[in-house]
Amino acid sequence: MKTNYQRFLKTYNVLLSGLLAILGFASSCESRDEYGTPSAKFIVNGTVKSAETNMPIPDIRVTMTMQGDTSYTDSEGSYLVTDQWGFPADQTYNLRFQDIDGETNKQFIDLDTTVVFKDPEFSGGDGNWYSGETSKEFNVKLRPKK
Amino acid sequence: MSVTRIPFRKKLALELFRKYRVNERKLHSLNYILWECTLRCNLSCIHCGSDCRKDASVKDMPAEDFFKAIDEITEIVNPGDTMIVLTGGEPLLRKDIEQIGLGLYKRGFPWGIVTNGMLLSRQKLDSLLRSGMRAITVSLDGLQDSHNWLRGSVLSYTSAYNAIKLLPSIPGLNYDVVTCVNQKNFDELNQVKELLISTGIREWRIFTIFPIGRAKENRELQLSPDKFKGLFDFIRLTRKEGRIKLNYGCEGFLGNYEKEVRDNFFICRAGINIASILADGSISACPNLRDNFIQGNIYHDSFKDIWETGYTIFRDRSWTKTGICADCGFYKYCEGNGMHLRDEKTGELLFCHLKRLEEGEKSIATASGSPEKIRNHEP
Repeated sequence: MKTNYQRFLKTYNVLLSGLLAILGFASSCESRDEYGTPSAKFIVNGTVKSAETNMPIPDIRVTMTMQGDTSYTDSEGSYLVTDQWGFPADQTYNLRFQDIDGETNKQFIDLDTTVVFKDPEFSGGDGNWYSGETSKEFNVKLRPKK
Repeated sequence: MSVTRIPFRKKLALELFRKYRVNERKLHSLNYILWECTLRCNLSCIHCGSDCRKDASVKDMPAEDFFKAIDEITEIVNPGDTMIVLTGGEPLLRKDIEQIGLGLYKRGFPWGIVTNGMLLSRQKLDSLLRSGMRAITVSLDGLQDSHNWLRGSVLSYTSAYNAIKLLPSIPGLNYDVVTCVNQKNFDELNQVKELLISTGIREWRIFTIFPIGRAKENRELQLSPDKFKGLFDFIRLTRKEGRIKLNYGCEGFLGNYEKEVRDNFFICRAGINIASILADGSISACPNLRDNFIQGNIYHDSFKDIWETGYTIFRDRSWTKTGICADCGFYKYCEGNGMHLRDEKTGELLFCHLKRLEEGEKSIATASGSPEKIRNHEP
């Protein structure tokens, strides 16, 4: 019941706004609030290999530090991390590569680095707030611990 | 332009808008939340309307406490339709502002800040944008001397202007520059306008200083009646020129200046669409509404319940029909002016825009020897 009443009030106000516009007072009822949030999906993918042997390293933890997205390299050393709610403009992401499985795959030194999206092109946007997605391949090599 | 002689067409529009306002109160859809995220400030402005202190010992509210309240309100609002504005104090003094912004962004809320620009470097702006910042307001209160005087710092003008220069180049960012007009900067308004236009600024908002916060002790900050009226003539002419989009702030019913000096008719949306969380957790309507206007506290009360069942004094304003409002013929269009212009303890009106405009009109007419009849408050 309350919902119907609210719907009635909203419709009533739309009607009043229309009448005000007819009188030459368009936008009389607008407030300065901003609505919606522009967003884009940023994808970083690539491989992690040994700087010494050039062999892929599995089970390396890859973290997009600010956004908190984390994944692990597969047996081919491939990984993918995303920022689902990126701002559709130039972006710089901090990535951390960590060897956390002890001596299983030998031991590698952690790497902190950045990935820069410069003038990114987006695809699959909805024509409204969501600009779509963009991706960048970023391959790294980790140095083994002595 | 006569202040109180309102043409028939506009009067009809004001009557329709009255109905709209009544409906808005009944609906009271929350779509604007301000958070006084810190009381710390790097300036000491003469006109400050908050309780901010230049004191690092005032503790900021932990972001988690704010998010808890926000998560609660998400049950009754659509985040995408609800703007969250971080204010202060100076919000950029918070070290975790990007994390806060990102937290809001991930919850789907558009968010913005109000800043004095002292800490807004290009790097900082980029970092805020990366955290999803959607809107920004920067203060510029005149040319160098008058801005620095009001802001209490010789560095503030340069910082604010450098910050403002960054804004037009950011695609998709909603921004505006706000100016608090006072006796010192009144004569500079044309120069400020040209400066902003030459900088590429497209949106400008003007406020007048009202007697609350620190400004209570500095009554000379307020414009004389003739300058007060002159200000609205300046805004009206600037809007007609169309070179920059200028609006007067949200306060005050302005008689015949309604819709001439801002896009919308006067409506005080405090407690109708706007809520605030103050630094100590108090739940209010706008951040400059304290004491008896406080509706609860996020540390003891449910923000959602307060919004749904509280705010009675904001949604039924019949109590404001006292003092000079009691027999004012324009009360039905004004309903007691902006809530922040009522005394926090007694509820008495501290400042009437319409009355000040009429005084200005009289003063100008007397000075020029014009026989123009000044009418009393009659709709």
